[in-house]
Amino acid sequence: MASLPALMLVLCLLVSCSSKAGVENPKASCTEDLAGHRVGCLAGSLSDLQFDEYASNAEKMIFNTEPDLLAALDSRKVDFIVFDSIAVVGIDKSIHNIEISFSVPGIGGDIGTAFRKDDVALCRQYNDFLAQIKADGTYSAMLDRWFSDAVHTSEMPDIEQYTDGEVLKVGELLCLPFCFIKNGDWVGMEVEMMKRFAAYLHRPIEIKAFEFSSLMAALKTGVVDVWCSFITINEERSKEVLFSDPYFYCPVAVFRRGEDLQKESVPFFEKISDSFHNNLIVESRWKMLVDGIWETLVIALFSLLLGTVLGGCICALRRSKAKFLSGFAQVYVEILRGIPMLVFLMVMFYVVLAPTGMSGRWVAIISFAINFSAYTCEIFRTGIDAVDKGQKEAGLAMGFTPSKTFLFFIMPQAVRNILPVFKNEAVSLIKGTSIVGYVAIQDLTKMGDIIRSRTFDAFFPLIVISIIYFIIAWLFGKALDLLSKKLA
Amino acid sequence: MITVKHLSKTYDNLGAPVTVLRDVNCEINKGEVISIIGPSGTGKSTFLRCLNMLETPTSGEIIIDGVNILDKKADISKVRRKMGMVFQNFNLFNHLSIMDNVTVGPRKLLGMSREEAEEQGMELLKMVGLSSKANSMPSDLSGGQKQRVAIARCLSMKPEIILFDEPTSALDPTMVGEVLSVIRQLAQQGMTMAIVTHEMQFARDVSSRILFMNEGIIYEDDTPDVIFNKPKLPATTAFINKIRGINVTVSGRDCDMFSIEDSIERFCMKYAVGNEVSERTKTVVREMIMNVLPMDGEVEVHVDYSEKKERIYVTFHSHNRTEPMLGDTVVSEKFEKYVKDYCDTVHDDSDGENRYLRLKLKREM
Repeated sequence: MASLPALMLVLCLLVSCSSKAGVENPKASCTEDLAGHRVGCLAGSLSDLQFDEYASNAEKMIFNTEPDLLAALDSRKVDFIVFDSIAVVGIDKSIHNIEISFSVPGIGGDIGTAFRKDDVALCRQYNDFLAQIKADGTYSAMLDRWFSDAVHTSEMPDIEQYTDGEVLKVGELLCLPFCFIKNGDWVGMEVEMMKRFAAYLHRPIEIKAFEFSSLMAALKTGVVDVWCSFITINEERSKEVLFSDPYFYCPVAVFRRGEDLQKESVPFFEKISDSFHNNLIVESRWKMLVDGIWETLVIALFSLLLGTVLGGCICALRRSKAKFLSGFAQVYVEILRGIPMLVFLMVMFYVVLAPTGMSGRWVAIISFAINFSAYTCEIFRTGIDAVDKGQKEAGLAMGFTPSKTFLFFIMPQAVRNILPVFKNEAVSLIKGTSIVGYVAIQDLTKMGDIIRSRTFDAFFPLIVISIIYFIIAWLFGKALDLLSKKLA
Repeated sequence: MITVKHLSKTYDNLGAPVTVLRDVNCEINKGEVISIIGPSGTGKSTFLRCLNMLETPTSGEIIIDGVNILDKKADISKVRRKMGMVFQNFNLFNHLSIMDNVTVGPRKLLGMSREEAEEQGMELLKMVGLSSKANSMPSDLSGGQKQRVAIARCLSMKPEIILFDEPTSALDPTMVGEVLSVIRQLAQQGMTMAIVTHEMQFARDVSSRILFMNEGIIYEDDTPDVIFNKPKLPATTAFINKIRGINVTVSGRDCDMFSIEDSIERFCMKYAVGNEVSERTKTVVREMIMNVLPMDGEVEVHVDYSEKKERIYVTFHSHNRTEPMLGDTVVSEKFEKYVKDYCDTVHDDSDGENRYLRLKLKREM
């Protein structure tokens, strides 16, 4: 346990270093001024797609989420960020001191909602819906509600909800002010629009949050029916999906770090307690972390159990005398060890298991179990091979059948060889589940991201979840140690 | 009890078939103690391991109590319960205590209760002198102790025959005795046993019959007296002569003296020849090779021990030589100076083509 304070110390140092000041911030007033600077943009956004048109001489850096982009600007990894001008609504200037440099002339785009190519009927219904809310003033009320600095205090209006009928599955990107979580509920401009659309259709709604880069796949494979994440309509995307009528035009702007404010220096612990309050206490955000821990534990433990059992079976095949079976097991292990876990998870979610309509949680459990089984198979095999051949002969010679010999004499000794390595792999598995956010599961890491996307505090949530992961892994390691002591 | 007919075993070594056993025939009757001896790599262990099917024979028949165990339908696990096996490397179950090692079989296979099995286990451990180690783990025991537990473990299954696969080969010389005396005790109690061993003295004392195996067949099958004293076949004679002494061929002074001295030392230890004589034998051989003999051709060195006369003999055998080995005056002088004091008698003989120089070493002072 002595390592815990040490970890805290390192993390605290990281935090205090990250807010160093005193270096002149570069300025720019037109696109030419960007030349030679590092410019950050959001993956898949207009600023990314049309980068060469306005900043061909700048060094491009692409980030996946808005908090990452802001954190990069704060920590001086980039000099400028280019961003949909509307997306900075609601950013707390005391956390991220950014200011607009200039709007990029001629860069901007129509924003639309995407449907599957063959889902013309739904798209037509959406267009009718859009025309209706624009006509009756609902739409402009939505703009007033969400696209202003009062976004944090805005409340979702009451929208009729339906429980019967086919669920309208909506894929969103967590990003202020379009889609975020407040008091545990989905809120924001696009959330309201989609809820209104579902009400218009008299259908229940289910909202899932994805990375921008996986939304296209989620739509095309039917994981969601509607992709609504402030998407710019362009030619390339129109080939893949069906866009609705545009509902907004968004210009793009370049932002820079603001001059360092003469902040009164806040004592370190007060700063920590402020962060603690903002990130965990306000809106009971700690409850999200608890949910995240639960999700992480469920996925980790189930895939651990399932993967261990499956690994045992694969190991049995691998040791089989039938060439066909052992060959199959060998290929299975080789292939799975060669595929990165994230890629494998995405393939399972968007391709292999997509037609089954299985929930993300179960897809994750199955994928991790399959991946884990490839490693446990090899661990089991080496553990069993390490037991002296004489033990088997002694068992057989006494008159035990081969299976009983394995059960009574080989396995107990193999388990002792296996446990230390197994512990390593199991802890890796627990930590490895942090990628399930890519398939719209709200695990611990994803919950940290959600909190970050609300508070724009880049560090505190990350530090909190890393400590939580550490504690989970540590406790788990101890539990396995106890088990191995009991067996020894 | 066990009848072996036309037993053969061939295995595939990287595409080349290697025959380990060829047409082995033999019979083992109740109450017999059979020792299987012979040079290394002639299939002794393989033959023994075929008897309980730890190795699968290629062809032939093994009939135990009227059942051919090579038959696919035979319940080999059931047959094995009546045949104990003691391994060279003991193979105690490392994760079980000594008591568990000697009770696991009766409890799981013979349906004995824990109390019964432990009572019997304690009896057996007492018999092999290790009742005080009942709660120890195998790793706490010496090699000799482990092997005695392994024997007790065999006996716990109340076998009708015990197969010993080189039971003392992995042991320190100091521990060989304790294991052999347990086996001797079993022989006296009338246990049927088949023993693969390199302990010739032991084989001679304890066996009712000796099988001499050579190149995958039972070459000679007779009583210990015949095999050790008047073997009928030439390969047996050569083997018996060999085990009684050391034969090395030396072609010059740059030979591996360390290895020769080491084998002399081990040879002397085996026959319990005193330390002084052992040192003297080494000196004689070393000085003869390094200083005395001219070493102008190959010389065979033979060291043997006569138990009756309690003497060590060292013979130097030079091929295609007519003149005496100590004929030269310089050589003769060197011999007087370095070696003569250690010897009682010196014979320099010839059979026409070869010369023999036979030295009879002095007894312990």
